[in-house]
Amino acid sequence: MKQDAVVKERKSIYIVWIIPVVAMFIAGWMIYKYYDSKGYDIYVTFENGNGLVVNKTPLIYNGIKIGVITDLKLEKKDISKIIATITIDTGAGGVAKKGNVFWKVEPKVSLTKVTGLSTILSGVYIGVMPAEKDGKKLLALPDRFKFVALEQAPIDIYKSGIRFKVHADKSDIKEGAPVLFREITIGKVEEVILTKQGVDYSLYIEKKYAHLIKENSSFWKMSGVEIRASLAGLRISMDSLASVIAGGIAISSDPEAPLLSDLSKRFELYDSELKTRLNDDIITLVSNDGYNIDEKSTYIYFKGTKAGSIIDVHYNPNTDQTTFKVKLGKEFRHLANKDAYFWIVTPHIGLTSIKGLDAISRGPYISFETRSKSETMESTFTLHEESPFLKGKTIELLADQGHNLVSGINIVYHDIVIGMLKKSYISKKRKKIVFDIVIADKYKYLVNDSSSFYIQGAVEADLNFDGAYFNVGSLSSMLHSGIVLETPDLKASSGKKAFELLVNKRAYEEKAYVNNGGKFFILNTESLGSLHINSPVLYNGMPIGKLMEHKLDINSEKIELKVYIEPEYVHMINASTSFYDISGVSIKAGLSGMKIVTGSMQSILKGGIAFKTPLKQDKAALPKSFKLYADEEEIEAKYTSIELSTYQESGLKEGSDIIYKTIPIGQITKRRLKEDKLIYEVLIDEKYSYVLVDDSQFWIEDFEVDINKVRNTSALLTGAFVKVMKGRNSKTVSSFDLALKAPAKTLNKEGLRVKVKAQKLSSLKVGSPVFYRQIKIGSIEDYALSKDSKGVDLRLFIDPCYSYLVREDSLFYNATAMGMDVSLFGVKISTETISTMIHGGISMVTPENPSTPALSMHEFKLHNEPKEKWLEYNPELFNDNSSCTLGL
Amino acid sequence: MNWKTDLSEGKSLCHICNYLQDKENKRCLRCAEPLHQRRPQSLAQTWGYVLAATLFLIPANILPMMVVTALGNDDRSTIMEGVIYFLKHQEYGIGGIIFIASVAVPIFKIVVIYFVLLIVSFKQSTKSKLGLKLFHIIHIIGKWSMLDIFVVALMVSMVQFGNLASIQTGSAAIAFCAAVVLTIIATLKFDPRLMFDINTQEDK
Repeated sequence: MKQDAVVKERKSIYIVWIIPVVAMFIAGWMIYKYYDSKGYDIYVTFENGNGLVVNKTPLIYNGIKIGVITDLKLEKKDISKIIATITIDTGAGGVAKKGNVFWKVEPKVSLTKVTGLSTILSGVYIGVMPAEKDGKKLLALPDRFKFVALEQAPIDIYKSGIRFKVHADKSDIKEGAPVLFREITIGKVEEVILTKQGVDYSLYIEKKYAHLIKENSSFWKMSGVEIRASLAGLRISMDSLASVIAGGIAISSDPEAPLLSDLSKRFELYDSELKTRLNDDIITLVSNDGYNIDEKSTYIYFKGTKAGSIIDVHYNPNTDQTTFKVKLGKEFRHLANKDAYFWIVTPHIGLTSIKGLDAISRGPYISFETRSKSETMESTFTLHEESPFLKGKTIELLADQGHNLVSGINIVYHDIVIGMLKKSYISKKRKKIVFDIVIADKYKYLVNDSSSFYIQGAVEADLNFDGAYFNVGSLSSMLHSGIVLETPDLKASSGKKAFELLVNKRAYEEKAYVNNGGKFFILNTESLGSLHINSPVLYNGMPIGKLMEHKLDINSEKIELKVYIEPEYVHMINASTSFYDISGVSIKAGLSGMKIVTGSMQSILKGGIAFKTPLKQDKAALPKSFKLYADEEEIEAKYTSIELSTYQESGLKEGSDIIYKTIPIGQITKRRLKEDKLIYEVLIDEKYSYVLVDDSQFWIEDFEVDINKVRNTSALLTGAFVKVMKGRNSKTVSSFDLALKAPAKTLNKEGLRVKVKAQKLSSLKVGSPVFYRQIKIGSIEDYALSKDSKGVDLRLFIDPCYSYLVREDSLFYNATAMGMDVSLFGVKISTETISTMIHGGISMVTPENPSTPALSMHEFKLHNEPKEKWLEYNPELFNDNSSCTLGL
Repeated sequence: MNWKTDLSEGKSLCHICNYLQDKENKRCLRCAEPLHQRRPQSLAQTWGYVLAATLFLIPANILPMMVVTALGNDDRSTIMEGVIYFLKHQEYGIGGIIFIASVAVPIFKIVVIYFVLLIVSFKQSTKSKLGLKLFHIIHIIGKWSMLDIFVVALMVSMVQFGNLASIQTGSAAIAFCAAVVLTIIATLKFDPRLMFDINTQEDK
């Protein structure tokens, strides 16, 4: 029988089951590994649990974490103690060995100690030190799991180096402060311990530098920033940065001396390097007077540099002498040779002078010098009263201040020492401080009348907008202030015995600059702005002078500026010059665009003064003080520019004046041709610009000889000039025609003007009078050929007081012609006045029953001669113009 | 309960293109993918993966998740320690989220998977509908467990200030990742239709 195949799924183990199996292994391994790395436990007993945190407080060896506290318990027997269970990481072997020491590192600030400050940030930790440095030996030690922690860290024996103590009076150096040798850190201050006599610093010096410590090494404090202020000035000195923060100790050692053998020797820590130097040789000075010398504050100087101090004063009554024991610094000791001369400088106040000025502020001091380089040393010297005698020429230098110049200071010429300062005193008579200097005989020719003396500091720095300025004197003068001599002209005569002592090289340079022959001008301004001393005076960008001084005038509340212009440029300043401030950058923005105006780079930084001189030859006197305008714009307004044009040549040239009513109001600055026309460019003073109205007349006046007079004789010398007559309108223009002849004087006067037509001009001219009953009532103002060329049109000006006389039917006739009447009755000559004989004139008659007054520019006919009956006319006319005061 | 299923009708659904066809076909008539009525070896695979995931959850919770090193001290914390830390510092929001995402959800997922597996194994047809609902829930929220890993990854990348403060992942992170991924795969492998097959079979 056939059976269906029974298909049964074979029960197979699915591959997927690998996954959970693998998972099991992995998970198991992870857990195992984690717990395995935990390592073994040790138990350390501590006095207190401060800072101990389970699972946090680490066990650190040499900076590496090798375990952590995992449990804290109280000790059963003494519940004041804490037992910490420390689980050591696997891999850190040798921890649980007998002899290992443990301690807690926490910040400890106590009256006697300061340690562990770094743990404030990082948290307390437990330190461990192995019993043996050798790893094998350590592992060979027996195991131990219970320890008692130490009170404090033990000495780091694995940090090899040397340790010793240094003693000081006060503790201003902190634990951890560096120990420096020539500014290299060679160790540090490990501990600060208070003792009965002061403070002990335990110093640790690294092994490789241990050889620097000698038996006689000197130690001194570097206290970061040292500021020493005294009457001698302010001195700031700074050592390494580390020592600025923590203080520090510096060491210096004599290379020859033997190494330090006894580590228990306690060295002295001095306050400063100087004091250590004063450790050296002692010399004795003998004198007859105690001189008020104070041990602590009296110093010995060599040519101005501190060289030593007094450590003992002893008076011997038998010999009536006082002996001073003086410690000299190492470098100066050799100078106290057999030729050394010591003298004391004490203040001496007398009736007429005060001597020893510098000694007043710093107390008496002892100065010494030596003339020779002798190697023979002395140790006892006489203390003299007088400064050493120097053969040479004595010169006096005068100053307003003492400048702390110490007797003995060098006088230097081009870096050669040529003399010395002997003494200084106040002269009441001269109201100055006098310095007596002696110039050695062989150099005395260097001092003459052109000499200048100035004080040279060691390094002089001056920082201002001119730039930084450094002046370093000679090496020797670097050690001490000195006085420098400059003699620009070695051939000058030498008669001067007293000179001014200038404060520094700058003052000398300024004085030299100013003495060159230039000129000073005074400017006034309301505010200084960015100007200051040495701001340049610029012309078209080029510096031609400097601002030397400024001071405030209390009365006028203006600031007075004293400006120096170099000699070559002095002529550019005249009365028409305007000075303006060109400091900085000025930006003018307008519809026409933006204009940035700036002077030189210098003037941007340090301000500057510029000027413009519009009239090249202004003969007016220079004003006492010029106004300083705030900027260029302000001065533009000082002059108005106009143009005069003419076709005629004349004697006018640049510099010719424009005269208004005898006063010069402007000048011709330029002339040029435009096609055939001569154009003169003229600058009119702002003050008079009101004459520039459109009906003003300009004309040329030149030397003229006329029938009745000679005119403008001055023009013979100065040349032709332009005269102007102001018009009556108010519209301002800037371009005028230049007439050749003066206009009528009546031109702009108030009055009646009428037109008269004549056949010919005959002898009439501008200015010819107009008569009524032989009284001049006006004149001819102008004439011109009439339009139809049939006659001449005259314009008459009638004085306003007489205008009432002119009526519409008035008659005008030419009065020039000599009336000659020849008749049977004889010759009758009639003429108005003599002048009309020559110049001509017009007479007017008004008939009886006159009509209305004539209006302006009414036309009349000029008759050649009057009719008979006209001369009979005799109307009654009244003047209704009350402003006329003519007549009786 | 008597449902009409694909088994009873002799049809099968292609799991790629969803084309309903006769179960006799070896390959789908539309997309040529191998055709089967139920996922092959669904139960076995699901069991395997879920067991692996369970195993991995153990180190995930015991070993530290994150190691914070501050000023030389390192602080290892497990997931629960982290949650407790946040709750202690009254950051209930973050603490709650981490608890839900890293503790509650993975456990919930594994429990549900076991539940549905047991439904099929013990033929508890009455629970089928419930099982299906739960299954759908964990299918959707499964991946959100990775939230905690994401948080750790962010902290590690942000807090790297050398000695001052730095964070490293602990060994638990890997184990946790593995557990979450395995549960996701387990959910994928399980064919929920199996829960309804048992009914029809029972009836038979």
